[in-house]
Amino acid sequence: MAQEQNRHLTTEQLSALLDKQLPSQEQARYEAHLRACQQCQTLLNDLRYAVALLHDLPQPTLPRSFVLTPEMLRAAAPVEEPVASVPVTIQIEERRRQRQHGQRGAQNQSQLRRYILPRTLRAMSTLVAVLGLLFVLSALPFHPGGAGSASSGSSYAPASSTSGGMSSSPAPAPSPQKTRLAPNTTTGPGKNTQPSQQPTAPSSQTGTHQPATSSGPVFPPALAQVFSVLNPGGAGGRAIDGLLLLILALAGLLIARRWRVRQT
Amino acid sequence: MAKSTRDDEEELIARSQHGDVHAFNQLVLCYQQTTYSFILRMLGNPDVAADVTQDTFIAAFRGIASFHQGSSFRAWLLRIASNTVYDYWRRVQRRPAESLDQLTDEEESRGINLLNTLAATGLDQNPEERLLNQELQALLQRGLQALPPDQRIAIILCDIEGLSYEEIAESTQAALGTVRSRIARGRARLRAYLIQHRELLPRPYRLSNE
Repeated sequence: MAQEQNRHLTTEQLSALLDKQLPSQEQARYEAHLRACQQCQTLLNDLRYAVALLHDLPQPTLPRSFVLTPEMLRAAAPVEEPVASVPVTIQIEERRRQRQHGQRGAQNQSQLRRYILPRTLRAMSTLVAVLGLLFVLSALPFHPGGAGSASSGSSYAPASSTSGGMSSSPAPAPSPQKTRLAPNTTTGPGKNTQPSQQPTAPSSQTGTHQPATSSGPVFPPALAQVFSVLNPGGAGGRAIDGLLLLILALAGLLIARRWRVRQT
Repeated sequence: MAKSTRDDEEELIARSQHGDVHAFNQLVLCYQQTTYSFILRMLGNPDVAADVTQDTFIAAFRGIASFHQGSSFRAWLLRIASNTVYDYWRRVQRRPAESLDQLTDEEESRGINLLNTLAATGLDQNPEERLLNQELQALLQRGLQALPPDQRIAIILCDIEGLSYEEIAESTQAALGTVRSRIARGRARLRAYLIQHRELLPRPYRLSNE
């Protein structure tokens, strides 16, 4: 026992003594040694002093509140493992960068990407679809006349005028066949006989191209004039344009939907 | 912690486990000071510490299903905090500084007396009024950052955040004996660091018989 008392205490023993983490018997033995050993006493006091300094470090002031917002939870991808947080910390650098540009701006940008763009695209696509439908319908009651020649002039105007970015591909020209769905249409250029179809377009049989003026019941005159500018080729061209617009609109709607699915 | 407060906390945790962010935010308000303080002492940079703290709470909310009622929520949260700190280091590929390798934990510095070095002007006589000045704070922070990460975590949790050895063991997922040894070695190294840099100590704390 006496020999044991002469042996210096280790830092670990002193540190545990400081925190009262020792069984009482052991503690009493160490204290007995300390009373006799100046060197161990000095070390213990030093440790106590270092601990006191750490303890006295002031609490840092919080730079902000760390309350979670729905945006934060949505921004980070879900983590399967409970503790590891690799996907979360990857955002640190990015967030710091964003903060340099201003947090508000970054938030707006993500909102723009998430909500505004898909909605705008959807609205525009709907508009294009309606326009395309009108084109097709407007083509229905008339004698198509120069269906072949119309396709040449059909590929340019509508697409570029409605939704800037997308360029329309040349038409596959299925439109003359499509028009037969209407009960009162005449498909062939020359061999049409219309027994009962009188009120809407009696003069279309004459073979002259006057789509703009005769589309009265469907369009207001101003719109019809616009169409006539776009489609010098006539009703068949309008039908092709209408179909192109419909395809464009469908593509727009699909893209908008895919965006939304990816964002949520 | 009072019984009712503990019950409140358990209820908040249970609600958070069912995805209630508002309940979890109550917990955030309770623990953000401890969490931020711990992370700041680990990293030393307030900006980075704020980001890592935010990520800690996001990760904690995500993983709260893995928390077992009855254990210490603070210890659990601080474990996520230290994991997030490690993730940050991994991400920036910076190992925490270990500049004390030339000093052994105790033997070489046994001859020098820290207390005499530091205790010049009543610093130890009025512990309540002792207000560490900026220079001493900075020196302590550098001393902490000179510790190996496991010792640093143990020291910060024990001597700054005031966790019990059991909580630290839970938080670091280490045995009690390991915790004890890390704390002891960390304290000894910190003492050695302060002695080694005693010329950087603010004038009032300098050794008089130097």
